[in-house]
Amino acid sequence: MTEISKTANKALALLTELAASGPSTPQEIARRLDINRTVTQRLLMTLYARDFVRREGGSYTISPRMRRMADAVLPQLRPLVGRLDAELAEATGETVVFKVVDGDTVIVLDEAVPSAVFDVRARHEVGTRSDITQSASGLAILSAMDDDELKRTLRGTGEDLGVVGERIAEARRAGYAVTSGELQEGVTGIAAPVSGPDGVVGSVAVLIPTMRANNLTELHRLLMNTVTQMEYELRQPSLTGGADQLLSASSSGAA
Amino acid sequence: MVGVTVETAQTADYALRVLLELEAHDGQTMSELADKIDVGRSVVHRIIATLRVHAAVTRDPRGRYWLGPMLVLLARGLQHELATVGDGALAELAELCQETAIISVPEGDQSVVVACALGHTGALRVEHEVGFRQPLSRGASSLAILAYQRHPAISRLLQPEDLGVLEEIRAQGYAQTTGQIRSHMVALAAPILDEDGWAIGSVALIAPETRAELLESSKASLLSTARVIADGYAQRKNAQPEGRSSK
Repeated sequence: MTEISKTANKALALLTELAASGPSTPQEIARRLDINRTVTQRLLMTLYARDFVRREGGSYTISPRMRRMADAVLPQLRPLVGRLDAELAEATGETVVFKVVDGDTVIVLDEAVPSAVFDVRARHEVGTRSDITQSASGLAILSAMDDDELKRTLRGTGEDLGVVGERIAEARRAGYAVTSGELQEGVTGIAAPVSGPDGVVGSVAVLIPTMRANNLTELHRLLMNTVTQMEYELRQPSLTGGADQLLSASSSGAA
Repeated sequence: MVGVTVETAQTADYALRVLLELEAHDGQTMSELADKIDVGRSVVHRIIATLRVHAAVTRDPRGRYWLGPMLVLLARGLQHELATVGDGALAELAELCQETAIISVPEGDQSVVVACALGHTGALRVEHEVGFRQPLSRGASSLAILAYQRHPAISRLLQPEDLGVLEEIRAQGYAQTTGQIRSHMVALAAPILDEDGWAIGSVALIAPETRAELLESSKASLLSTARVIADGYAQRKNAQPEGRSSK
């Protein structure tokens, strides 16, 4: 990726740190992030002025207002993905993840783990990033892109288009993608793309420890049911306002 | 603050402003964002690259930018704002009426409990908990929200013959159900409305059926609690429209 801004980078690292550690003094933050105190103070003032953090006594915390911003993250997609991922996780007894595209990578938006305890589980936490060509989730998303999108997405990856192209074509024919041990050793992933009115929005994947990945047919059936339900609900107008934004944003002239 | 000091904090501020812009209108292109923030393309380019490293924004295949999963993680440990604003009033209501009181908010086709106060100290009471979900079409706390939704899409959650229920709720200003979520329970719920009159949540009192009549007498308190919370929320929201001065 291109050059990044060091200051903005520190501000974002500070937010992540603060969310993980809870209320902290500037001194504690400076020490944990290994940046000097003057810089820390300045970053805190910047975050405070925009209400990203609050101050109580001598400590700073993430502002409750950030809840509203979190609710604005893919507002139509996230609640339905959360609910349907959880249902699929219960039905399959395996971990389910939903990934969204970020350039030539994919990021976990939602992870659902079945409630049954004490078992070997494949885990893939929210916010985790991987190359789009590296997992079943990524290949599934690529298989649902049109040629323009595909070209633009793969431009920077330096991938051998012949090899990836073949796998994408395969996923396109099948309607889903399977990989084993490519991203995480010992984990098999089976993934299918999910499309909204304006194209692919992400993919849903079931992650299975490879040692018990012997009934993919049944998993595949359950997975496709979930995808059908997600795509159906994505085409319904939203109850809580998200769809308007999602639809108007995408339809107002895709570049 | 002068010179270098201002300049360095400013880059971080651009990043925050990009997030606020996307919160107001998600799915913008890089040049749209550059115009809104009023900085050059190369600066926005760098800011967005930084935000993407942290998964605070993502880029879709069509070249548009969206708020990212990192923001969800930031808010994970946070109370809902209505809970922060309403906790005090909710506890008073529960105490006054001697019943369990909850605040719920809509999330997709469901409602989620974000605050809960137990008022009854006796043996028979309703136990409820934060995080409990139910369909938006069932239970007083859900229906009070559903009756005041901006979007006409609500019709798909209800049978046409049930739409009258919502009209009735709007006519009287509250919802009342018996045994819709759990048998032997009655619930009374009032919407928490924004300035335009749409529901951002609801307050509900839930009681065992045997105390249904007592619950009847709590209507006025319930409605005034909903108004207090709505006012508190509106004040809070209007307090920081465009950043604020640091004291």
